[in-house]
Amino acid sequence: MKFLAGFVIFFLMIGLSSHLFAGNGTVVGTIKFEGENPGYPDANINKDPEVCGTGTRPTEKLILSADNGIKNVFVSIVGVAGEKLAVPAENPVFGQEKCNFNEHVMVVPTGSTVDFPNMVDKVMHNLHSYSMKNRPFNKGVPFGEKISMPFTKPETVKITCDVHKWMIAYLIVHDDPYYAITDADGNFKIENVPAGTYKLQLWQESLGRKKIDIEVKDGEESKVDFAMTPRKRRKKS
Amino acid sequence: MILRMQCLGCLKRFINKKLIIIKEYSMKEKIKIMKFLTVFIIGAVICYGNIASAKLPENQEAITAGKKVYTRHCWPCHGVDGAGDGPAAEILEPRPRNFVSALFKLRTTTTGNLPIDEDLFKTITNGMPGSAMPAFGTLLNEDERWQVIYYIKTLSDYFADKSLDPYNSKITIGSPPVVTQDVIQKGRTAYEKAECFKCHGDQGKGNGDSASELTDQEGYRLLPRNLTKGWKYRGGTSLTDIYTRFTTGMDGTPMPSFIDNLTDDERWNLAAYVKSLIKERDLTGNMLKGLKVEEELPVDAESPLWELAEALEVPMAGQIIWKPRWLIPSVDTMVVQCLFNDDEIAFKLTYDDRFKDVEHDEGSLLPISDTAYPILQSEDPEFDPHFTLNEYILRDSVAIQFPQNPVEGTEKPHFMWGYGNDPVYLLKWNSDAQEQGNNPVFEMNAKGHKKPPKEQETASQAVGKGIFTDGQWSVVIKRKLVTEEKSDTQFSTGTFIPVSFQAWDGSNSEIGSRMSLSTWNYLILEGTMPISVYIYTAIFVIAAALLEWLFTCRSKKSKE
Repeated sequence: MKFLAGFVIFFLMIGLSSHLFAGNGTVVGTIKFEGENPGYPDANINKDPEVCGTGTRPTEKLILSADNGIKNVFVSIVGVAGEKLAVPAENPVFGQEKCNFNEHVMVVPTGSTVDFPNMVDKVMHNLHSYSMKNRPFNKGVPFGEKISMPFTKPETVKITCDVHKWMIAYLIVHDDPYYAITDADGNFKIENVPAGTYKLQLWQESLGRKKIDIEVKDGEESKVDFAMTPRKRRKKS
Repeated sequence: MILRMQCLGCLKRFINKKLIIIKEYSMKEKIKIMKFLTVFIIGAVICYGNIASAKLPENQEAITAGKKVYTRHCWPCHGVDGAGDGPAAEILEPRPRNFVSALFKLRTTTTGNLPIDEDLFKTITNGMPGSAMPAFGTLLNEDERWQVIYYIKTLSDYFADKSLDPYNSKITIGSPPVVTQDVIQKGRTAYEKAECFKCHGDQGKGNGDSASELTDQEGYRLLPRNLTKGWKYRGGTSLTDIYTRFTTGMDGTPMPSFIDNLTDDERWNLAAYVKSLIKERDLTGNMLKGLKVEEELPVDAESPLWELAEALEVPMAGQIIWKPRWLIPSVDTMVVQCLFNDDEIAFKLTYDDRFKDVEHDEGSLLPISDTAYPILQSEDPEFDPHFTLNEYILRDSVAIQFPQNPVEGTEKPHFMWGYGNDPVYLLKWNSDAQEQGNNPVFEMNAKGHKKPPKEQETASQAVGKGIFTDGQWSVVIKRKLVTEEKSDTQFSTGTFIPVSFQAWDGSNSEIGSRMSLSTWNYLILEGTMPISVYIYTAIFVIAAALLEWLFTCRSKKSKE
């Protein structure tokens, strides 16, 4: 009986490992913008000039390269039965400098507690989150202070500061390592994806969400080039 | 409350009675009685406590009953499904609460968490002063209030989620400190540390640098509280109320929680400071007494002469008599003063207004729609709020209104610009004219809403000047007491002249009949009293006293 059980477990393990190590592929591609540019105006920097500076700042709502590559698109593969992101030993840090968040789109593993320090700007920032699954928060953080907030559910969380209306960033709470954020030219690369057919999900703050079917083959590089178009203007009657 | 008073009264009578009897009892018996009394008092206190906080059990029956209450009172604003989108929602600022997204301003739980039932009970009972939310404490009995709370909780999935149980995220509220000047001073330091002034302004007038750009969670305009107006504090004005607001934050609004970054003491001190900013207002008067002076009347609002004149505080409300109506007026109270001499009369009007609006361009505004509400223009082309105001820039204005012709008895023209046979005369000050260096005071006449104020054809005889300092306009308007113009009101001493006030806040998109207005008050210009009046009065008083004394003496004698 023991022998039989051991036998079964042995074969199960072989089966499992053969599945796990069936071979990984890579997904690469470029996300470009197509259609009429909505023309988001520059942010007007009109508060706390001694800390935030003055004038205008280019908007981060839609950053395009010379040949229309989109920066900061969050590209993820949906439903990969593979690794999960571990909660980091040290809290991820989401800071700001000169009234600008250090990163515009940042990914943190589900279950992380994120530190929001205000150690550079000698002004108060109120860090105000917009989310549905994680309970939102809105806390005043004077210079030299920090807050730490847990993010327990996967979701895209918008973070703003109401005092400095132009400060907007996104914190993406994510489960697995199969994601990438496009660079300034709209390029991305996701490695070590178990072979299989999946949906590739694109998300950009101004263009919304898009899903594409992809196939990942063992040891191969799947190329995905996609053009995102502006969302239809929301009309209220 | 009545129950409490009855309970206390009963207890008091009982104790008094017992204590009187105690005197006649022996020591042993006294101890017995005292023991009984102690038990009675403790029992009464426990009973009383239970009565005060008797909470209805949360069950299906209560939820069903709550739905009935909701359909009777709540949905016109909060929507059939509770998404804060009832038919009245569009004309309200702040917008009604969206129960589905379940972000509540008034809580005793930490930021982002749901309110406990008692928080909702308090809000429903007291309403939210300064908003459209009425105090249901007098409309619904306690059971009905609990029932509707249980129903509201079924409108959102969040309340069903056991992991979000708000009772686990309750803040602990200690007892408020004794407020001293030192505590208030420390509170001011906390006000600066937490940079409250960024939105609420240096002196709490709600006019900070970031004030004009604030929005609620859904992008609709929200203005920071003018902290001097205690009657508009949504969650009450007790130290504990104020402390709770910045401990928990006001979810769904830009108001953050300071639980992490201000100590408990700092938050109590801050509460004391904020409370110290509240100005009391006395709205009982309706008589504006002009003060006669010998000097030339000042056009300058900062002239020391104004300190001598009596002030009348006038309540102002949105104009809701004729279309377009105005439900969200900016100016809700105005302090008025009057000076006059033999030749002229001057009025000083002082009122809070967050922003100085001195430009005017109506663009393609007219005719004004009844529902054009001020909503922030968003840089985001995706953001397409219901009503955008991008075509015009409006000025601040203020007007004093009088009946054009002398009134007889108590009959007056309609306070909203008079009517056909009873025209009114207005002295209107426009900030944009002053900014351009022109005479800012216009003489106007109106005969009802169909014939709204129209500038007189002859050049204005009146002058004036407005000064804007830290969220407050002080406007002086001056004119001759008597003019030759038929359509002008003539001022004379010793008569009651009806007077009312109107104000337009440009950045609140107020123009035409979208304004704040008051009803009629009375202006009296007292002539200098001849000295003989005082002498005669004195003589009569003395004579009467003498007579009375004589009478008493005589009646005493006759008794003896």
